[in-house]
Amino acid sequence: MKQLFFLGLILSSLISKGQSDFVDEILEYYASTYSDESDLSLFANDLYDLAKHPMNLNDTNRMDLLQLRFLSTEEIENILLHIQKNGPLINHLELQVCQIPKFKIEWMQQLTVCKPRFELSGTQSKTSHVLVFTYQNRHPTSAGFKEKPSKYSGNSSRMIFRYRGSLGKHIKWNYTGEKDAGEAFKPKRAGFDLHSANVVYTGFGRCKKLIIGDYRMGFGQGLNIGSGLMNGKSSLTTNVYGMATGIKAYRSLDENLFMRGLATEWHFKNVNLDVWFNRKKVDANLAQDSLSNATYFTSRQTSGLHRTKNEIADKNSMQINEVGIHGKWTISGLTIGAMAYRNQTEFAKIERDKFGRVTVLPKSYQQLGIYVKKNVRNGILFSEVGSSFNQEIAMIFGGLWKLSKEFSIATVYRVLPSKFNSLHTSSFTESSRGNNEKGLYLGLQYKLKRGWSLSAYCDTYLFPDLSFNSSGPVNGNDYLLELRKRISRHDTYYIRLKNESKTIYGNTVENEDSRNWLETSSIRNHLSLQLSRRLKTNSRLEFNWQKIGNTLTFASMFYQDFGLDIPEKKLKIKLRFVVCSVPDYGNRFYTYENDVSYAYSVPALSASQTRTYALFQYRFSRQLDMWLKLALDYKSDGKDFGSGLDSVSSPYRSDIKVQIRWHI
Amino acid sequence: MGLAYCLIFSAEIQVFAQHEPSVIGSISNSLAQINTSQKGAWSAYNQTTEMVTDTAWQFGCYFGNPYLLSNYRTYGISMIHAQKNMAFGACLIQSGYSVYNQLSSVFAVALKLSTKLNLGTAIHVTQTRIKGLETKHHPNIVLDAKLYVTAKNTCYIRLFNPIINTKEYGYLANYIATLQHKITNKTNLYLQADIASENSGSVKTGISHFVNDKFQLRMGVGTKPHVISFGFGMRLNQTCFHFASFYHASLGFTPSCSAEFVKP
Repeated sequence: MKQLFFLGLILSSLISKGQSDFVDEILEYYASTYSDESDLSLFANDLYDLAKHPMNLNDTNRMDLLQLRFLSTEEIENILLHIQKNGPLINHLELQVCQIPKFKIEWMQQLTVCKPRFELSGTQSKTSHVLVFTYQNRHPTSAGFKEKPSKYSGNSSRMIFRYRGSLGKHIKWNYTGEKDAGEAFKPKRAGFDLHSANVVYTGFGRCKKLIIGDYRMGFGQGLNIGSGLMNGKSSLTTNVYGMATGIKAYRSLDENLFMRGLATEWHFKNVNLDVWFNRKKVDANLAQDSLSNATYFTSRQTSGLHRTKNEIADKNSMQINEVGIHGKWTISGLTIGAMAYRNQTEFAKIERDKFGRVTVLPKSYQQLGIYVKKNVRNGILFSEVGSSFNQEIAMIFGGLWKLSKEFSIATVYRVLPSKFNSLHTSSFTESSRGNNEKGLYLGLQYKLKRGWSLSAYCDTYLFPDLSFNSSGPVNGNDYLLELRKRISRHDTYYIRLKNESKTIYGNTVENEDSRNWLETSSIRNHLSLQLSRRLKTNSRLEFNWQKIGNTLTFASMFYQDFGLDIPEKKLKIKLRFVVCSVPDYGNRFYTYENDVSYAYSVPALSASQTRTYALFQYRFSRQLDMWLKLALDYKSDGKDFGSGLDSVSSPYRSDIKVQIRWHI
Repeated sequence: MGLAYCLIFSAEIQVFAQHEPSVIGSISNSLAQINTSQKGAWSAYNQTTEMVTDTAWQFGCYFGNPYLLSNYRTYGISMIHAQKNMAFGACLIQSGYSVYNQLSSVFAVALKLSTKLNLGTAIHVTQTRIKGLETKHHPNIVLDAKLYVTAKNTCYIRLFNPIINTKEYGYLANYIATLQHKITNKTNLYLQADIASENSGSVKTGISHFVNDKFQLRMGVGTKPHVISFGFGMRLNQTCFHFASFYHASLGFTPSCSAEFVKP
């Protein structure tokens, strides 16, 4: 009832501006280059932020441009070089000289402006506010809600409230509150489960940026500190240069990816200096030693969910303090950076390996990192080295070269020892752990004639030491080959072949020493067509095979999208129908879905099922937008959705999502 | 300690497997060096049909360090003499370390039969020595063909030991088919299928690209074992220098370099 009242309160007072369709287009394009469950929420938030406050291309640097993740590293370098050689841009059309495709220039027209560098626009003192409220629920509810008494502390709805404000270009503030399904909403106490807020000052002088509150950051190749938005393997095969965006305000919903405290960036001629202080409480599983009575933590809880008694007990159970400094010197194509930070946790970590041996890790550690980037003729060479003073040195070396107008190659070699401290690592790696890995990546892009282009990569890697799910070294190889045809400005076809293979070990005590070879191959056909000014379609047919030893499983998936734009009714409708046959979880498909604003969705289709969704966007006025998403899943094999407390014992499952956005 | 010996031994077996029966060291498995290997002074070893050229004399030397193992080295010298529509070649390649050595002596001859077809053959006499145990000699026969399919496509066929099939030291029959496709004047694409008599086949693919008329970049990928290779070739007047390496995730890098001198 209180939630309904809250929704009503928001509804009754909303006024606002229009939604930006191109954000969906960009996210769709970007998601199509990744084939797994990549986290796009940070990128989505950056795009909405840029749509509201466009970036001035004449007053920008590489770090700012890296926010436009649809641009390749070569394209970014071309823009910077063009501005350096020819002076400030007058119009976006000049970007054609930088060999940027027209569809990307159209997106840039929405996200950037070309103004003189220090022009004071007439909107300097204008204050703006954006309020966004999202409500989400699922029917039937999962097993955890049905048990008496309920295993969860709250109801099955998920609610998100966002407020963003700005005073001119220089001061912005943000608040995000979120309650996940199963978490309690306590209006009289904390209200939402997650609260995230910050105030950002972007200055003119030496102090370029000051953030108080929640922030994220990434430097160099993200080996020592990564923002969670670093490059990985994708069909943008030469995008291997790290997306280090410096210090940025945090506006997303992940409860672990951010730091809390104060961060500031200073600029002195060719030198950039960043200083940060992070003091944050995190979720951890605590354990007490019966002999010494000392408290340790065994693992960090990173799901961000606080629904059950155990999850609530872990909430904010440990404090982290961190202080760090980063400096960067740039001169004529050469960038040298260094960073150092000290991290201290409230409790020491206790680790138990596969053989039961216990190691107590220290409460605090220092990390030192150095990175270099050099622009060479038609290319970039880069490297980053990091050490946490435990004699384990991690390294990344790489380069990308545009050998001719049509042909580009990229390579990355990485060595990350198993004891390398990877708390903030978010670099070019196969595993998300950020350590215990070495490998070599090679990628190429070839622009053929008549709109055809060829992308390919191969990556061979090794996890030399044991890890929590393997009782021996893991060796793996990934290959990708994509042939893309840009039929016209809005029409595209591509076929993508992918092969992944790696060593796997048994996951039970009895067969943990059994070693096998897992091989997964897939073929994806995708066609995007703009049938008319109002109607757009996407069709995808994908197959995959998984082979473990002598067992072969085959899966297939087809989806059809329709996007309808009816401007006179101020209505946009997006529909999708998916049908798939998936015999095993390993054969699952990830498909990007259109969603409400500030959100993304890449559900895993892991059974023989159909999925249908409809997304409606209605614009009440220039200030007020509303989204409604309805989705229905049906499992033809009769199995439950999910497992354990999350399981839904019905062949049907429906989701509803409502969002209202009000610009003041 | 026993485990360490086992690991070293298995690594050596792997290295050994890399060397034969196709061609030596990184040249063999690195499509990055396919041009180096198939053309130029090393064609006597790798693709005899490529010996027939306009240049009268070619001399080459080679050095490689398989998987950067401390005392494991590969050395080689080669020579080719080409006349009108015909060429002769010879090379010596030594690889190994203190207790294990392998020396291959190669004698090759090639003919240009027509504008569409070159044929070549070679005999490889390989001497294998395991210190304190044994020394053995093995003859191996190679038959090569080069077919100009179209202006853009060239096909190479190699039959290694089609009649001699010695299991000892792994000198088994091996059939290799390579397709070279000229994407542009600067860029070539290579696809290679390798079928060994007792193993399932492996596939290699690679690309070479002339950055300018003196510098060529090469890279490739091979399966079974999965390796990535990369390298470059550089021409300074009548001398060419090549560098290449392939990378195996478990065993590491195998760098190699070679130099060639061409006398018109």
